[in-house]
Amino acid sequence: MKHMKRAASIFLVLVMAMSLLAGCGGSEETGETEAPSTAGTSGESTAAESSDPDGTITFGISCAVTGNFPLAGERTLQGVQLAVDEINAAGGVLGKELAFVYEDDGNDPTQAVTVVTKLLNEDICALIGPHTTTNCLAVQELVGEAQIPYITGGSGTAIAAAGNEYVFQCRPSDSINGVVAADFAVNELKSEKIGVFYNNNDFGVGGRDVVVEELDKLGADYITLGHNSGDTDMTSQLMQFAAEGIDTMILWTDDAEDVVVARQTYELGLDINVITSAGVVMEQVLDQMEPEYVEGWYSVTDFVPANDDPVVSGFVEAFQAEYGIEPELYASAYYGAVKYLAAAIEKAGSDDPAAIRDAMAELSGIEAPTGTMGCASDNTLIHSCVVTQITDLKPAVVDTVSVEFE
Amino acid sequence: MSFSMIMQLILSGIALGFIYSMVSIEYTLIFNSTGLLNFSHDKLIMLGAYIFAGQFALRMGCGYVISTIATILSMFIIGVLMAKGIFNPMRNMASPIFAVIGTVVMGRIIKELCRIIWGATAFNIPGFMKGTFRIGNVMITRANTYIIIVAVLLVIALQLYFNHSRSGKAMRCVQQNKTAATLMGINVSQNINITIGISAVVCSIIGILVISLFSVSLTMTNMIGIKGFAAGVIGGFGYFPGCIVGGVLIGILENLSTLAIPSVYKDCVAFVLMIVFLLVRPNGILGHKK
Repeated sequence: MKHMKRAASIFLVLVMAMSLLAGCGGSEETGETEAPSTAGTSGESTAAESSDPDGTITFGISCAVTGNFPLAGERTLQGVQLAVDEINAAGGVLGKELAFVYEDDGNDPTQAVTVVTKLLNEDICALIGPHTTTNCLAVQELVGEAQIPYITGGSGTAIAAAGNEYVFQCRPSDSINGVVAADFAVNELKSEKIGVFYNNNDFGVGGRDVVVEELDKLGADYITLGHNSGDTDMTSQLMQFAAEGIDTMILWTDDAEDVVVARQTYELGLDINVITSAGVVMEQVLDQMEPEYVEGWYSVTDFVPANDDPVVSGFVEAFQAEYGIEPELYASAYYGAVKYLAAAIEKAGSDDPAAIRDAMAELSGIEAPTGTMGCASDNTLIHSCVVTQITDLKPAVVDTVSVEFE
Repeated sequence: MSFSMIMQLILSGIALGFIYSMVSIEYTLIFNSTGLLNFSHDKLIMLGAYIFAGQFALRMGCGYVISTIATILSMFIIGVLMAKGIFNPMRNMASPIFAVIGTVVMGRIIKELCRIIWGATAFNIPGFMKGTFRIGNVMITRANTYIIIVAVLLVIALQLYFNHSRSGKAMRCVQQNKTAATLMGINVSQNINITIGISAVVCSIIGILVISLFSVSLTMTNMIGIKGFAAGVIGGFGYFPGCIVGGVLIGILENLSTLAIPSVYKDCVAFVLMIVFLLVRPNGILGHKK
């Protein structure tokens, strides 16, 4: 009897699990796409003709398909898949088909080390991802020892400071975005008192340091306040900003906190200009807000879909045709990374990792949705960013700022 | 530092505090009934929010009242199934660790299922519980008002249920002595099923209330899960009025602390308080002894 009851319990749990899983089919109807299903199976080559080992050039991807940041991995794979498809449709690289294998790093540094170790032991010519500064710093020595070129979307200044010649950054470094935000606040918005509101993590503190250094240089009057990742109540910081009488807030934080700050700034009735870091312009962030929360906000970012530039509009159209949604930062950044990698393989004339690294360090003038890619002496590949303003939840480009590089 | 600023901090602290209190109540229910801690409790709150917002309100387009009722029913069933699948089979094993690990794993399963079913994108219900009231210079949001009202009603309802209904009294018997309860003809396993079902219902109510504050995402409940634990310890573990006192105290103190210390250390307040209470007054503020 007891066994029967236990069996019945297990059966019921299985039924529940199955019925929940059965709901998955509905997600396609609502327009949400699942990248991994189109991008092949984890750990398996995605080229159609992978039966012919001489006919493909394979690179590795580490991204967060699960964990606390799973959307990043989903969009990364969509962008990469689109780039690979386009390259193969145009004849591949060196006459061979371009293919990739991916592993899930869960946006966790420990897991990133594990999966990167696994990827490096497979026959890959280059590595794209892990994303984020923290994960990149965790694996950069490994890829350096294996002498495999590695492109990351982490934008922290600490990556270039590590000085690893095999690590390349495919998004504008915070040293560019932060300076542009500070300049914009002082020179364009003529702010008299600025509040710098930062997330207390690698990304936020790095951004704050860049902003503050530039504000000092410009002789601006400012105060800084911090919050933690995952904070859900910013009342006290916003009230302090209001009490200090700031007229512009420079906000350097992640997606979830952007939403909380936007809502509470509106609810508390703070009438100030806001300039934010890159994330806020993404559709998945704006979808969580009411239009009035972020009306008139500025954002210093690498990519918005609403841009007249033919490279950007071409990419946006292709992405929408493929997945039915607009591309965002991750998709565009890693799409560009694959294009850059393919160009480097062509230039190197072989799939030897060391030759590809040298070619990557010499390339310039590669057109990508996030700007013209070219390698600087600190291995950063993008040297421009856009200032955008949000109107009725739609970001539009106000200004494109490029910086000189060596 | 004006009067209105302090009032503002206290008011938003009270609302957040009531959320901590409800979290504390929801796991206290399970602790009292089985002697086990449910480590998937924050994931159940998240699941409640996903079922309400993702499934009923947005995908099926139901009204808020119907969505709320449907969510509460679904979560009750899920709670009972969890009790049948994890708590009842595992609570009598050699070590309580088995059941605890079971709940941890269940939390992971719930989280990844939510990701597969509703996608990784965080979302919100447009216009849901939106709006603010103003009293002088102090602003209070509609969402915070609802949170306070619902939390108070919930505590009253639970107190009435446990003290005046037959099945509620039976649950208290099971809490106090399972062997004696069995001898009195109470079906302990069934009793635990219902208790965990009720706990899941409380989780779903919290989930619905915090949607407009946190957005529906896979990480929405990380912090309130831990602070709810702290609220129970500070107020008096395993005792409902203690949960309320502990939660509201944490909410207010962590907001007011930002006047004296840098705001990034705000989260420490709850945990420092918890350690101090464990060392100095382990029975909590209300000093309730079982």
